Amino acid sequence: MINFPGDSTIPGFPSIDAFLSLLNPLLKRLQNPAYEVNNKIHEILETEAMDVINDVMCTKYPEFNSRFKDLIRKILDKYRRNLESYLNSLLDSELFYLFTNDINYLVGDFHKVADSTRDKAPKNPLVHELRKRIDAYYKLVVRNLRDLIPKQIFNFLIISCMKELEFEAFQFTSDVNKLKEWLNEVTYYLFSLHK
Amino acid sequence: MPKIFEEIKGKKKAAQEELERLGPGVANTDAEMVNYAWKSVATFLRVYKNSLNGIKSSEYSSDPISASIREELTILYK
Repeated sequence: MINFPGDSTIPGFPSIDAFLSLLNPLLKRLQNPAYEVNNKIHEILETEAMDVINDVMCTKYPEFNSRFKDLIRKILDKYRRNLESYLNSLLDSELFYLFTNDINYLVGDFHKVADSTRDKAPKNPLVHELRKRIDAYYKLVVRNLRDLIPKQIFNFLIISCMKELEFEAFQFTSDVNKLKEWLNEVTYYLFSLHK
Repeated sequence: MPKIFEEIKGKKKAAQEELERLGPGVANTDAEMVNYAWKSVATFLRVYKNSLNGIKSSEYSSDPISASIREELTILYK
């Protein structure tokens, strides 16, 4: 508050710079959990894909299985990186541009948005007002991201990724010359003999 | 002689088990190879999609992963 006195021509109004400097560290804290959940879900999908391949595909074609696993890993990783870049721009937009259409926030009824500040005694009315605004805006951002990020993760990592995976998987089986090379039992037997 | 017969029986049984584990014979012709590849890829896609949608497949022993994905998404920012 001392560092950001605001517009001296309108005394009694909280400064937007003070609001931003207090809000931005809170918003920055939202970045890591979003990236972590992306990585975690990617890991779950990859582990499941490898387990399914090991379980349903015949073990006597190790070359074919290993090439197919590489293809799946490549596609899943591509979608993880795409989603990461999307999440990056989504979180940056929350950080660099403040905007809401929430009617309670716009009419100044912050108590409906941020309940946690209700019980705190207003020692300094200006500080109390600023705290209410920050809490209310932060809760709006978190509420929106909690809905939006899971939807985007599902859309990128599961719906779009599955479409490409299906297409690429059938493309993978279309080259007969490569299949001749990959569907070779010799490698399996050599491997078994050396065990 | 009985010892040799026992040994032959044992080896035959082991070989049969190994053959059963390996599944059907090798794909020799182009058509057989493409057929095998399509079949295994289609099975994988069906089982994987079922797992993502929370449906248990008879070909796959583990539980579907849809619940763990949903759990991860639910705990975000909690």
